[in-house]
Amino acid sequence: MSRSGVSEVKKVPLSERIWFKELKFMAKRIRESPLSLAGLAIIAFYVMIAILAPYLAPPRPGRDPFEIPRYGYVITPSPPSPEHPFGLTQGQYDLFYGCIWGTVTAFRVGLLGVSGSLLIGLTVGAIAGYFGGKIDEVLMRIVDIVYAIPGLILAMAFVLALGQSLDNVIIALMLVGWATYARLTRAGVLQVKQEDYVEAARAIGSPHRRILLRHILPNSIFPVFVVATLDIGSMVLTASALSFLGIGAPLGYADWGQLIALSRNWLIGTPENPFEYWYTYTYPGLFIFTFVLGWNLLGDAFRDILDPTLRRR
Amino acid sequence: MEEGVGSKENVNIMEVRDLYVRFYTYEGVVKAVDGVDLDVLKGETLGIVGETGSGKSVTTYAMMNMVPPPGRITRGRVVYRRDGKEFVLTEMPESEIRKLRGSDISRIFQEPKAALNPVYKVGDQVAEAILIHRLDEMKERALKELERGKGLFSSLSRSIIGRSLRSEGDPLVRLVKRIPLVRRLYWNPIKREARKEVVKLLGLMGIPDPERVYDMYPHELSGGMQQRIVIATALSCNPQLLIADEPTTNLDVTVEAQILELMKDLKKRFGMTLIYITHDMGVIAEMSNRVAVMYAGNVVEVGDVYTIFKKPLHPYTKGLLEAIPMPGRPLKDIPGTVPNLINPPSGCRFHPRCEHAMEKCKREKPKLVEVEPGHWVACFLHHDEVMEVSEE
Repeated sequence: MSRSGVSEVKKVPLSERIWFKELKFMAKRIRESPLSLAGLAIIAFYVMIAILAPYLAPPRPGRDPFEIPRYGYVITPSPPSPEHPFGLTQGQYDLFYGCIWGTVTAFRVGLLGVSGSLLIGLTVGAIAGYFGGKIDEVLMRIVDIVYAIPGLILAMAFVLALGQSLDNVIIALMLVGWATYARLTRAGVLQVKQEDYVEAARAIGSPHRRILLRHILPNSIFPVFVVATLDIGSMVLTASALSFLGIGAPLGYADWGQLIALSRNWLIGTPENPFEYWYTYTYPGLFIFTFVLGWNLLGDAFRDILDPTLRRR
Repeated sequence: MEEGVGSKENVNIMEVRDLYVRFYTYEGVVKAVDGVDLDVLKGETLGIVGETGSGKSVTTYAMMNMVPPPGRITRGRVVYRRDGKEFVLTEMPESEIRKLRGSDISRIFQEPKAALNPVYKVGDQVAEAILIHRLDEMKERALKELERGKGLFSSLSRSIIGRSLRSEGDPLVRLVKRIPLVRRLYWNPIKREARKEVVKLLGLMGIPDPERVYDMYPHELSGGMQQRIVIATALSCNPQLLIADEPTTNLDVTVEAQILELMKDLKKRFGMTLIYITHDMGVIAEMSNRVAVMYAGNVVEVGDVYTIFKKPLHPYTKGLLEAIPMPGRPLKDIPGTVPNLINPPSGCRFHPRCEHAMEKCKREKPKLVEVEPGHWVACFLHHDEVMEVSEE
């Protein structure tokens, strides 16, 4: 083709740009739904706590900030006081400090755990769905095996095999959680693979990698993302369960599950006052509960926002 | 087979010889294409007509060696010719064929809405083919453009693009391409050139305000506009052979007329060969020089458009022509339906529906034979040659 007059690339004003409209649309959807707004508020609140943790509960100089300070060696918990607003739990660990730094731990577990499983799951699912045949068969049978073993038990096995530490808990969660994403991704890829635009991409000579990354995945990962946001909460729950069972974070580590575990013996107080030690389980329980609730609400909001069939400009 | 359906070897841009395509489904093996011989002459418009399921699309998919699974080419040769060179598509590795797809042999899809990816701007989709096949050209243009710019960034871009042009696997370029943000130095000038090219192309397609349309998403465009985008994608790398698979079936008549006009015009301008698949005899008469009629996986008649319309020989072709609605003439249909291709009829596949069927038609399959210059037909009414059927 001959090169006749070169057209100049016009600048599109900011308010006309697609991504700007998209953001506006997303903001509108969030504003219109009070529940997702609540979810967003809760998560924003926790983000603030996590960021401000060094100021809310200053770590002792020279010590690991995730190590909860203890004030004595008495077993019986001490009730809230001006110095320790949430009280001291079994072994005189500071509950307030534990809850605040536990937030940071929760974010680490949730975000790292989910993004790690997402990475594994997306890769496995995309390859299985796109190439099909024997590769698909082998990869999906591995997924079936992971599915066949209860998640918590498998995670326990991984932690015990790798050694007890929070990092290993996160790795174990990744190794357990990816199977769901692999299945979801594969289903999406199988569906989108049939579309004409994939055939069209092949007809213009696109290589496999490009077809998969540019044409198939962007059209099939939305459901995976929604499930992933919902999973951040449940990852934190599983990690807490591991800590509660005593194979999660080491003793004294700032982790909500750990604090719940420490309250195990104080659920029932004395005969005169059955709720004498209420602070040992209420505070960490409240933190876990609202954190998971926040992510679930936000996950629902994401589902609404990311659903392409609801898109209208 | 030595002598092909067509004429002189050197003018054939595409030769299909003894092609068999099978689809392995749960219900059984679908014999979608069963011994097709077809030549495409350079510069012509070949119309392929036939009912749904006659193997029109599958034959042309085989011409790009991209029969969708579970289909497979089980036998035959597909040869593409360019500048005296032969490319045997059925024997080439996938990576080599990929270089031909889009740049030499292009395809327009039936459903424009489905052929466009909903998540990308239409302009970027057209640019994709250009960035795959004409990357070096775009790099050179970008370099020329960057020479005018002063600044640090444009000189950095210039040196990176220059290096990548000099050697394909330059380690520095490969590194830069992997670093987010920095790789824009490399890609942005190239993409800018691709954008200019696309905008120009969209203008050629008769799209008003192409600069604005570039940034639109498929759902924001009408069917006719979408089809123009699809055509632009197919033409973006100056293909030698364009396969149009019922490109106007889903458009309304006025838009159809516009698209047909556009395609004729573009064919002249780009000087390419066109294969036009349709089941609309009117469109065939309008568009093509030569016509191939297909039935149940076989080519039953080939000839130039006047011969086929004025002097059809095969009973199926006659039936098709009589089935065109015309005022003052009772509409005649062809009795029966297209056979199930898992268990196709023996012998000539048309014999159960043919009013002239003879005993021989049930047993033997007629060969496609040139009964007069340029007019080929596979029917025992006109010759006695039997096609050897490959048993599998």
